[in-house]
Amino acid sequence: MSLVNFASREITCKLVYYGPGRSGKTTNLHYIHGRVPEMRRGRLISLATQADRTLFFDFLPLELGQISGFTTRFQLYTVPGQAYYNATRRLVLQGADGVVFVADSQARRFEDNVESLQDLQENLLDHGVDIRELPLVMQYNKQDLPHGLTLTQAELDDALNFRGVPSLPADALHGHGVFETLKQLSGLVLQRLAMAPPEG
Amino acid sequence: MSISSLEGATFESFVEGPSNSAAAVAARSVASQPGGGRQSLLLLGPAGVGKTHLLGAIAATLRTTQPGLEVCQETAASLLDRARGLHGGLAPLHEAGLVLFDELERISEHRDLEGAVLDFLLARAPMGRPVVLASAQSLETLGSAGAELAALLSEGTTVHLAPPDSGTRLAILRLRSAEFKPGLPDDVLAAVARLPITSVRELLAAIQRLVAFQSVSPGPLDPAQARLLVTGRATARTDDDEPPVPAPASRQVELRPLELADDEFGSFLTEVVASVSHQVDRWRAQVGEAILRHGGEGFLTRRLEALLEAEMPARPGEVLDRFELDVMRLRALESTAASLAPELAGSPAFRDPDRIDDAETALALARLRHDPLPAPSPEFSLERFGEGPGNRRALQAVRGVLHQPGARDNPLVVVGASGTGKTHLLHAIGNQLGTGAGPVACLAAATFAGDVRRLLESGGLANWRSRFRHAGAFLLDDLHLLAGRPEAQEEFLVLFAHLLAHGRQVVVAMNAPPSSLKDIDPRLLSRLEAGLVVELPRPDREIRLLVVKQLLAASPAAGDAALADWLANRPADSVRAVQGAVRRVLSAAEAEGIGPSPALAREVLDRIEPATRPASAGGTAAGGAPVPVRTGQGPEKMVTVWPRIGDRLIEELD
Repeated sequence: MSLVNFASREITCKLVYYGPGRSGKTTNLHYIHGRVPEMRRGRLISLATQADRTLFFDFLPLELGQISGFTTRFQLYTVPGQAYYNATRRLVLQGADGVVFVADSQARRFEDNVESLQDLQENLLDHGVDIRELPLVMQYNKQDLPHGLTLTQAELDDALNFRGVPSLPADALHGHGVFETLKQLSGLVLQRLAMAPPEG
Repeated sequence: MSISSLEGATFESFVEGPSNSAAAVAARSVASQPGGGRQSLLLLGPAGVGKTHLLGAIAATLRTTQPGLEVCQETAASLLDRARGLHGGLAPLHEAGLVLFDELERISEHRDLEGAVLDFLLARAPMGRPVVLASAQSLETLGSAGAELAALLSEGTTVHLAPPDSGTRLAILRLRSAEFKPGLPDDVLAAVARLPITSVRELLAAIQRLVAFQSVSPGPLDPAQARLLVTGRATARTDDDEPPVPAPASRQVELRPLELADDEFGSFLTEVVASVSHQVDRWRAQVGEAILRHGGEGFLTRRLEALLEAEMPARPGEVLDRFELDVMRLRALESTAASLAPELAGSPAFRDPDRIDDAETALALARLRHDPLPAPSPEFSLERFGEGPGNRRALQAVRGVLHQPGARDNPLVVVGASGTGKTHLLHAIGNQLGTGAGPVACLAAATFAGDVRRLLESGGLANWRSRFRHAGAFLLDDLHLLAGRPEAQEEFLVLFAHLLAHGRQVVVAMNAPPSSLKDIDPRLLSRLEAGLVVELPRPDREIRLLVVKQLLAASPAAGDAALADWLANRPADSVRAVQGAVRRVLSAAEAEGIGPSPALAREVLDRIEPATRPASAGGTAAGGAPVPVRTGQGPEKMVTVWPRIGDRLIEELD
């Protein structure tokens, strides 16, 4: 992980939005992109299929300027949710400083959420990272859908959030909970800014 | 008022105002004359008003003005450590010239802490030794210990510090703002100073946040934005109820992303700025704590102070970690040294983390005093070493070494057969070198190898190495006996390189030139060959005559030139053989009660050991008598081989 580089006076945080296909990861990034002043954001790079499914990954760089003498950058990534893109997910996950797990709140997607969370844990382990050691925030998206179709935050916490990490309900399409999620994760990541700088 | 309690607190950086001037005066008084007129000073005031800064300023002043005065600077955590026996326990606090104790209010949190405070106060009171304490709570609120403390401190002075007024706050803000480039506009500083902030720490955090925000804003902040950022409200109440100054409309538009509560990115950025500012500057707090802790223990903290002075040092964590490791190393060295020499406990040699080498040298010297290096035998001197044409070159080399030890002919390699005087010469060099550059180590290779083998099995090799590495000169006899002992060769090779690198003289003796030694590491041989190799030949007549005369000098035959000539004319392989012959003659003379004479010598020596003919390979002497061939390295192991069996029979029957 590369957080603070005292030599080059840079802070770079890589945040990855992870979750099952169609859970709303790219929607989160699109909303953020739309709300960030142009001078503070890079181009949102999105490689999608004809059906708007993420083919490789989305990438949104945020330049936050000089903070305490450090050039501060956030790099937001999404992973393709479909099961057969696991190699890509593993690649994107490499070097992540924090992860937002975007769960689909619909009851019918319950199993997809569980499988994706297991997939996240395994892919992190492949990189030698224990999920318990990595800043993680759960976002329960699509809470705007009718109650009959979705699980509540408590139900989703019971099913997915057995580690007790911060969790938030969200409606990424309209922006509800999107920045709250980003703030939660960035707070966790920045708390880990260590005195000892990484190599390089 | 404290500008920063951690960044090298001094009286110069303490901003005085009506709320704290009495405390500042009292603290300056202690710093100028500890104990003068008062035994104790208690600084009372809420958190963040400058108590810790004043304690630090007293310590900093005394470090400069009275460097010999032992000042112990303690916090609740460090005192608790002492109560548990760490850092030398509580005893140093009884004797210290001045004790500064912060966080007195925390004694009610732990019984050990309460006991520790009362312990050092009770111990110091009868001696009239001064203490300065700081507390965020009055003594009455400190439970059962409060009454005891009040009684103990009743003779002293108590001064109160109050939160800063707006004028003092403005002075603090201006001083702090000047440390940043660019700083904040004065109207912003004035607006922040008018906010009812009671803690200097909060004030400093606020200015840090404002500066960080300004750095990511398109232009300088204005007072309204500053109030918004500090209080979360654009129309915050001020101390003097000054109506908030509305920001110009154009500025509101320009900075809209930062100001509006419903701006999500602005809100996100606010939190990121606060987190980064706090986390990035956290190292300063850690370094400051380390300075207070280790400075209080008497360690020099120059390295850390330099770190704080740097605006943006590279890798501060590594510097701090390295410093902590060095302090641990010093503690370990001091502990070992004190076990060898108790007077070294607390020695300044073990208090400077920038001079670990000095501490290691101090320990090595303690080890040497405790367990001296094998010294050269005083029986051997250069004056008693006979000089002749054969060994003149070797002796000239020795004189060169003695003239400039460690400089030119290093190593000096003395080659010679057994009994030619190598050992004598080696010890004589050692005695002549003296201990100017450190103690001289002089030992036999067999002892060296034996030590290495024993210590490899039992441990303690590191200490052994350390002792020899601090030798002023190293002299090793019979190096050829290291053959087939790779571990001893390796140790010698490393030691050899170390000594040469530090300009210490090395002299080795061996029975054959380096190039002809077997089973010796080629790296070692090449280093020896790079030195000055001199040979001690078999003793010529001149040397034999000198040796004979030296031995006869103390006998009844002193001055008997005929006897001396006869003995010196006898061929001999070694000085030792000459010495043996003379001693046999003197012994026989004493046994028979007659004076030593050439006739007696002929009778004694030719009967026991006919004179050898080194150049002869057997055959007959000039008179036709059979001459044996002697083999072996010395007289002690002499084997006589008769070329013809008949000659031996004649000898046996004679």
